[in-house]
Amino acid sequence: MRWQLAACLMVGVQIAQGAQPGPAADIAQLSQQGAAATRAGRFAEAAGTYRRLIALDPATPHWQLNLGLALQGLSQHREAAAAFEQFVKKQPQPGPAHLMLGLSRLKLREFCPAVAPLEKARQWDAARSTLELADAYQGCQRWEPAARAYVAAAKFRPGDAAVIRGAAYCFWRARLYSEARPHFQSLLPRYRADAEFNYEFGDMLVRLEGPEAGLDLLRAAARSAPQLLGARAELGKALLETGAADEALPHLEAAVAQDPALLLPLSKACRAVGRVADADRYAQEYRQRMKQ
Amino acid sequence: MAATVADFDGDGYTDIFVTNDRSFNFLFHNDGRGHFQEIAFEAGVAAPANGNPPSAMGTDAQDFDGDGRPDLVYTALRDETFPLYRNQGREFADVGSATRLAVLTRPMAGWGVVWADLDNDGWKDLVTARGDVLSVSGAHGARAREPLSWFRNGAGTGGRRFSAESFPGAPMALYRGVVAADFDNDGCLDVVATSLQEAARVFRNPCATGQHWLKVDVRVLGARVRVDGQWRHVTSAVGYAASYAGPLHFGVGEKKSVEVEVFWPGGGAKRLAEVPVDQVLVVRP
Repeated sequence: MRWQLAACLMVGVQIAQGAQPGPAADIAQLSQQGAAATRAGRFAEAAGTYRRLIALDPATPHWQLNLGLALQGLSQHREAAAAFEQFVKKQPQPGPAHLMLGLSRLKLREFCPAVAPLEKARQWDAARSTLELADAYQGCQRWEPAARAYVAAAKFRPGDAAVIRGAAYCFWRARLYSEARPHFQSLLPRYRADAEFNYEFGDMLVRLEGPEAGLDLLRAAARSAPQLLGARAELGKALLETGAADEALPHLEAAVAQDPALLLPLSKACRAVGRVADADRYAQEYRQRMKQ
Repeated sequence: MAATVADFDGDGYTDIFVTNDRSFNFLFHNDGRGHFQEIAFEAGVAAPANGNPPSAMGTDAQDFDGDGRPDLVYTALRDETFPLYRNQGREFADVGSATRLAVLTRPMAGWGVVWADLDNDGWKDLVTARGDVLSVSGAHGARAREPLSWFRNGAGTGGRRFSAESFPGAPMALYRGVVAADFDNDGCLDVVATSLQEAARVFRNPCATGQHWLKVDVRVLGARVRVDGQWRHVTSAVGYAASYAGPLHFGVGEKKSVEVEVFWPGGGAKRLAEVPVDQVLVVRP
């Protein structure tokens, strides 16, 4: 998992040493205990300490931040997110708490709610937050901003092919094929044996240049991963368009279970190879299922 | 969304093609006895070859490949392509890939569409009014405005091939309707386009090719006109939210005279030989 919990970002409130006996002294002592427990990885103890601090001193928002960090250490991401939320309500300017909140949301796979805090975190520190923001956009299926965020993140992580792969995938999903193309092209040497990569790149070439252009990649994807039905669907359609109905048939027959729209090209392929009864049956089924 | 009319099966009766947004298109066959039968599936125009009904918008029907049969085109939204169907007599073939129109229109969103020989080379080009459905005030508003596109109908290996360019002088806009007509009587079809939030605009065709032309004024809906190897039929339906009632325009290239034949919808025909070009030819039943 790429989302590292950055406990090193913990921001403790500095309390003056040597405070007089009374609540201020208690707060100072608890603060030191909480920080020490966190540094030592005793997150349960730290969380308890910060909860006591919040009860004693509810006006200081940093106890919520430090509680959130301790809860992240305990993998209690929902509770951590709630603590960070409390903090950023009182301290809304972009800062590390927004990154922490976003990371908790990502851990909870709550991608859309992660976007807003990570957008703020990016204002605070783009190098630390842009990749996480890209992941949030992608999980939220906001493909174009995700692609652009991955491109931006790549500047902070030169040579990280996975980040470029994210950009290529998201541009493809955003149907911005011209922008996807250079990223796919640059990744080809590394991902040549990756079936999903070959599917996406091949499909993109079909859409950008026509069916012949993507055949080799789609064939490679279908050969190495026959269970990748999206690739076989696109391969079948591309083959049919180039007149290779006999080669298209097994791919369309395999993929039709997941997409009833394929019944129409499947019907055409059957008709082209003389399987008239099958062609009529598939055409009839297409009309019935697509009208539903 | 839109309708176009033509005698698609050549039986002498006008049929109707209707585009439907993300649903199956209709083709109503006129049986000549006062009834229509919906035959889009049988004819192969209910959906494109990939089986996914697109956001079908405007449509126009004319013979683009010179075989005498009216072909069909309609516009759709981005990543759906503008499907083009070649009329093979009893059914249609999706020729979007073969003509390159599918690849060219993949990134486009279109509305109005009209077959018009803008360069007078004897082959009907396509003009499309484009504009995405994105909100102009939204995050991708800048991408909502698109140009008017001119797809030149050129020769290719084994059939016609299209190439794309923007119509000269037409700014980016939220175009919707488009019609081609020779507004300045210089022998070249100009274009008028409507767009959202703006007044309609007329774009003058630079008419730079020096090719010849003939306009045939028939004024009988459903009449079919042949000028040498080219065909057109009279209809007022054009593309999307538009109509046209002027003479039929034929580019004739370098020819100085042509043969003209008009087929009347109720039967009968009139044939005229050695017709000089660069004129408006009036023909009445």
